[in-house]
Amino acid sequence: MNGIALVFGTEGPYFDLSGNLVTGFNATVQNALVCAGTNQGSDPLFPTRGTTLLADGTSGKMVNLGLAQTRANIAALNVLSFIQSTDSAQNADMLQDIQFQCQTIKDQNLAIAVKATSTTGKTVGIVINQ
Amino acid sequence: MQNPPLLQDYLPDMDQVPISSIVSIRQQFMNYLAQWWPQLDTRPGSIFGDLHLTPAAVLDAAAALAVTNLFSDLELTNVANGVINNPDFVRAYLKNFGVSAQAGASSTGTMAMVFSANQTYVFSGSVIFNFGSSAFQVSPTVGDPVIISPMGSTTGKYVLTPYANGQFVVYLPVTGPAGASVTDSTIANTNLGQTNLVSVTAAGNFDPGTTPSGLPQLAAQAMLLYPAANLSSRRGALSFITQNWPNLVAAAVTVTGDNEMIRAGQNPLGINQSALDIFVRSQVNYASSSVVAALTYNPDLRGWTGGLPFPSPPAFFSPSTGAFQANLFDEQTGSSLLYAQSTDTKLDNPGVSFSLKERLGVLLSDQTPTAFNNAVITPITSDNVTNAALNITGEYWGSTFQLLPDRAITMQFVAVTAINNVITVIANVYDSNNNESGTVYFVPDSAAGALTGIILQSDPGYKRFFNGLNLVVDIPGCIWTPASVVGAKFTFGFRGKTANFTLNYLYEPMLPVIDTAIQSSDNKSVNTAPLARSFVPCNITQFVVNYRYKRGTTVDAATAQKAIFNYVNSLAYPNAYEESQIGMIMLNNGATGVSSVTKTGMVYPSLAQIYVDQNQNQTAIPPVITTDLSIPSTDFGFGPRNVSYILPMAVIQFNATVY
Repeated sequence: MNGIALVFGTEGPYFDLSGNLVTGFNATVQNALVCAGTNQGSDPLFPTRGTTLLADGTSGKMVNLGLAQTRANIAALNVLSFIQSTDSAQNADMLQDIQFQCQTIKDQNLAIAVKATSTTGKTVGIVINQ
Repeated sequence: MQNPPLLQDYLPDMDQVPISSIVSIRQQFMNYLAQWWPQLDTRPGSIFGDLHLTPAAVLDAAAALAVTNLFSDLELTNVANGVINNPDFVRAYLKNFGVSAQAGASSTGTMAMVFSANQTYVFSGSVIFNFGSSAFQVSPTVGDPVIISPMGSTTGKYVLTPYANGQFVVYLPVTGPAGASVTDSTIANTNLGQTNLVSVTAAGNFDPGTTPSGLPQLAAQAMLLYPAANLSSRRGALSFITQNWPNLVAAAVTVTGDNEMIRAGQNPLGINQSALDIFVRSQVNYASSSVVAALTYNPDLRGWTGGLPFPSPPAFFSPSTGAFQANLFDEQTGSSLLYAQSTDTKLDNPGVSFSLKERLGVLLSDQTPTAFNNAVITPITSDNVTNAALNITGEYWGSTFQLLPDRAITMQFVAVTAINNVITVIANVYDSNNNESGTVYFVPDSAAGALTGIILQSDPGYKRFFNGLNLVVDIPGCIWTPASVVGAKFTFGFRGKTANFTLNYLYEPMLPVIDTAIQSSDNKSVNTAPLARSFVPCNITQFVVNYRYKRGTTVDAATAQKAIFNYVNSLAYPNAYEESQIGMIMLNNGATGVSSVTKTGMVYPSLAQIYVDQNQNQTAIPPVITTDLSIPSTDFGFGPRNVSYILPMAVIQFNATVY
C-alpha cells in the first residue's frame, strides 16, 4: 500500500507534498496514527473509528502519566481493532499489535511513544520507557 | 418543457442518504481502484481514502437517489399518488401528455340581506360574509363600496324591496373559495357593523365552482387519456397492451392496410371504419380445458352436427391428443369438418377467427350411430287458433351452430305474401333454449289438393330450425286460405338423436379480459373497431435438431429442449424464427454445432375448414404448411405479424452425431 505521507510535527500533522510516499507497513502505521488522533464518532461512515484520547485529555482524565496511560491503552486497543477490521484483504503486512506509551505531560501536550508490529514481524517505532 | 431537470434539483437531504449505501459504494470503489492501482492506499485513515474516496462515495450514493427521484417523477403512478419530488418539472412533463393545470373557478351565489329600515346602505366590498367555514365577499361586479339604495330609487343598481314584517331585502351576488358548497337558506355571519341588518342568508344553492387541478389529479388524467389515445394506432395499441398487461409473452397489432387484416366494416352511418386487431399470448403454455358438445345426428349427412360451446375462444386443439383431428371426439372415429361463422353481421369474414366474435360448429361423420338419446317431439300447444292445426312428423337433423340440442319453439303466423306467385304464409320462429329467432314459410301442398300448407324446406330458415321435420298446417274443410291462420301461435319442442362429445382444447385465458378492456367505452377510440384475438396458430408437428458433439463430452438435452420450447413459443413480430438461435442454445448446452433442424408446421387461419357467411355461403379456409417455419401472407388474414408458434415439448427431438 502506498499513500501520501503525513509529517507528524510539533505543530501538528501536515502533508508531505515533496513527492515522498508512505509505503508498505508504514502506510498502515500512518493510518493507525490518524485513527488515534481522530475523535471517536466523528466519522459517520465508520462509527468505531477514532479514539477518545483528545476528549479524555480535555476533560481532565489524563492529569498524570498513570491516568494518561490507562486511556492510551484503551485507545491503542480501539486503533488496533479498527485498523484490522478495515484493512485490505490483499495487504500482506497487516497490523498485529500497537502499543502507546505515554512519555511526558508538559503544558497542554502529552507525548506518546508508539510501537507497531506487523504480521510479518516488522516493527515501526519504539516504546521508550517499558 | 423549457428547462430540463438538473440532477442537483433531485439531490436528497443528508439524512435521506443511508450510511450503509455510502459504505457499500466506498467499498466497491476500493475494489475497483485496486484493479487499476493495487498499491494505492484507499483504507480509512489514508489521505486518498479520507479526502477523496469517502466524499466520492457520498456523492455517488446521493446521485443514485437523485436519479431514483427523477425516475419517480417520470412514473405517473407515483405522481398520481402524490409522490412528487420536483413539482416544476412534473408540471412541465405532464404537458407532454396534453394535460395542464386548469385554473380554479370561484364559488358563486346570491345572498339575501334583510334590513329593518328602508334607507341607503354603504359598506366596503371587502366585508366578509361567512357561510359555514367559507368566507365570501360581495362580487366585484357590484362595485366597491357597495351601495344599496332605498325602495323606490330609480338610480340605484341594488334597491331594497319589501320583505315580511316591514323589513326590506336586497339580493347581492357573492364569490368565495373554489369548491365551497353552500345550500339554500344557510345563514351567514358577518363583520358588517350595520345595526339595521337583520339577517344574511343564501338565496338558493351556491355554485361551488371548480378547484384548481393538482399535479396528482393531472397525472391521473394523463394515465386515463394516454391509453384512450393509444388504441387508434399500432404503436399506441401495443403500448396500451404492454402497459396494462406487462406480463404477456407476446403481443402484436394489425391494422387496416396490413396483409393480415381482412376485417373491414362500416359504422351505422355508412362511414368506412378501420379495424385494429390485438393478438395476445400470456404464457408459453396455453391453458387447456375441455368442453362437452351435445350434437345431433343428421342421417342425410351421415354425421353428428351442432355448435361447440366454448366458454372462451379456443387458441388451438390440444396437440397432446392430436391436432385438429376427428379422433378428438371420443365416441366416433370418422372424419370431422369444422365450420366458423361471425357473430357480428358487420364483420362477416374469417378475420374474426380466434376471437369472441367467432362461433364454431362441427360435422362429425358417423355412418352407423350406435349410442345416442332418441329423437323426441313434444306435444303441440296452440294459442289464438280457430280453424287450423299444426302437425309435425319426421326427425330433427340438427343445425351447424346450434349449441343446445333441444329446441323450445314458439311459432306464430304473421302475414301472407306471394313467392313465385304462390300464396305463402310467413311465420316467425323463436327458440327460447338457444335464444335464436328467424322466419319460415308455408306454401300450399299440391299433393293434398291445396287444402294444407307445408313448410318451405328449401328456405335457410327451415334448414336452421326444423331441418328433417315435416311441418304441415291443416285447415279442415277449406282450400288453402292462409290469411285465416295469421295470428295463430303454436308452441312445441323437439330434438333429434343426440349424443355428447368431448373436445380438448387450448385457450388464452387473458383474451376475454383484454377484449372487455379494449371494447370498453372508456378505452375504445373513435371509428376504429378493436378486437382482441389469440394469435393465429402455427402448430409445429416436427422439430428435430441434428447436432454434433465431441466424444467424451455431454449435452444437456433436457435444458436445451426447455430453452427451445420457451424460445419458439414466445416468438412474436417483429421477431421471427431463426435457426441460429437454436444453434446458440445447443452450443450453450454442450453441443459443438447444429447441422440442421428438420421442422414442419401448419398454420391455421381458423380452427374451422369452412367459413359460413351470413347468407350461408361457404368458403374453404385451408391451412398452410411451412417447412422452414416462415410465415407467408395469404388471403385468409394471417402473416408474420399475427402468427404464433405452438411447439409441444414432446415434439422437440434431438438427433446426435458423436465424433
